[in-house]
Amino acid sequence: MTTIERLSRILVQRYKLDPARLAPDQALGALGIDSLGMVEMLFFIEEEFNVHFPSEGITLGTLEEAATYIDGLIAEQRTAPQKAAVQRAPSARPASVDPSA
Amino acid sequence: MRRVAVTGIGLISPLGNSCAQALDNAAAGRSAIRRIEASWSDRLAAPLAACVRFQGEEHFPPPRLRMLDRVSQFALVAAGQAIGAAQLDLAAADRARVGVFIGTGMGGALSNDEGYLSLYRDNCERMKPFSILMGMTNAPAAWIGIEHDLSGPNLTYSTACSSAAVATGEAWLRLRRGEIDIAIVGGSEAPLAFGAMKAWEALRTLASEDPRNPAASCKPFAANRSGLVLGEGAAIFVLEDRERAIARGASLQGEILGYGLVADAAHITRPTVAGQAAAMRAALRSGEIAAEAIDCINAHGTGTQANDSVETAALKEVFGERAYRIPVSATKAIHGHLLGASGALELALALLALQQDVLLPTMHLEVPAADCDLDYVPNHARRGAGARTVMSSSFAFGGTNAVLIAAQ
Repeated sequence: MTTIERLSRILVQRYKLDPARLAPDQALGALGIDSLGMVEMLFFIEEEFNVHFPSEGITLGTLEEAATYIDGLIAEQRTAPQKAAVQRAPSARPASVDPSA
Repeated sequence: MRRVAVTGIGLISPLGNSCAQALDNAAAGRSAIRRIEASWSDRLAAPLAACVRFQGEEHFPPPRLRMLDRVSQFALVAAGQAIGAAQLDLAAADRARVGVFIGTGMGGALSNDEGYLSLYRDNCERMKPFSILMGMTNAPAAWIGIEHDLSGPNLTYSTACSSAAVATGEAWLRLRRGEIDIAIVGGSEAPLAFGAMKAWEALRTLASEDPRNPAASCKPFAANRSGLVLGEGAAIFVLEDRERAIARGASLQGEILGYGLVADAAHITRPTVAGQAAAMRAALRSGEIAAEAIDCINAHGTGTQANDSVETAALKEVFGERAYRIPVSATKAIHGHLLGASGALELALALLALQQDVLLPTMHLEVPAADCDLDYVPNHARRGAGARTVMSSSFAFGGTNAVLIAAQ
């Protein structure tokens, strides 16, 4: 299963989203998941992929961009497992993960 | 001063999740106390509790449920019931004048317990992202305010076992003074986590199991009483300016007449006759109610050695010789001790009992203790006594004594 498929599975199972909405260019920030939901989603992604996000400065963008970002984290943390990794992924439509937003 | 009516009651309780069912079970003396089946039950000296039949999945979709500790789930569902029963059209109300006043002793105890297990036992690297939101004590009140868009005072009271009575009383004061028009009040508690139960066990306040009948393990005022049994649940009321309620054609469920709040300021656990009696007198004084007007008592009646003797003595001090003729009901014998929610559940049962003209029984009372010599309505309900006014007492560790007086 590809990263984007695993990511989609989280969205379908946890947030009851329609799989038909989850095209690669779908912005995560436009799925109706609020800022707290995004914080939770990072937790689910960390659990699913066994990676650690940095504590701030995370922007996931589209589904495809998020998958690329996650792949980058996996690669980086495989080589340097104790260090949190990539600071920022490219983003067309930022999906805020600041819970106070 | 305004008069304050009860226009809606919502219950999620060990005796049932509706007013009718809970009253029916209370009047019949059917105990909800059971041996609990959990992986850790055998590590408790007496694995007893009064549990609620409640599945959060039946009330909340998964993304929302993941943010709600059981204590908030109870509170939200009970509040929805109460608002529905009151036929309250919140759209027609000034929402800034609708407050939320909730008591809870242990807040999100289950979520805290689960978080610590994952962190300390399982060595998980990360805690669930909503651990703070689920564990925080004011979550039940906050969620009720959010759910119903209520922007008046949103307050949480945590005075251990008197929390819900304090919440109700404090709301009554604000309603009475005209500061708000409507209040969603009561208490919620979901304390049946292993850590919380072991902590209560360590304090040596929990009842030992009745070997003949575990359901009868809590025995308020009995010579062979051995302590309390923990319970869970929520009871929520809609309190309303009585004139406003009448003007909108609401069905009045009762009226709150008085509230007394007195601190023992003596000992962190040991109750005092003086403190309890002073709270009862303060409640009478607050509503300018004569002691003779009290028809029956809903006792705190925990089934602990200390409380039941002290409470009996306090009743005698306040009511004198008449104390022997006032029926005293202790329903914790069958629904357990809901801690911060107990005052609300017991007030609800007391009001419902007044409506049906029934005096609720104190169950499992075969032989009263020598110093517990009042009329506790032992083991069988009484009907047709014509009681109209009840005093409901809640006393707490920490010494915060709260007493409410309500009428039909």
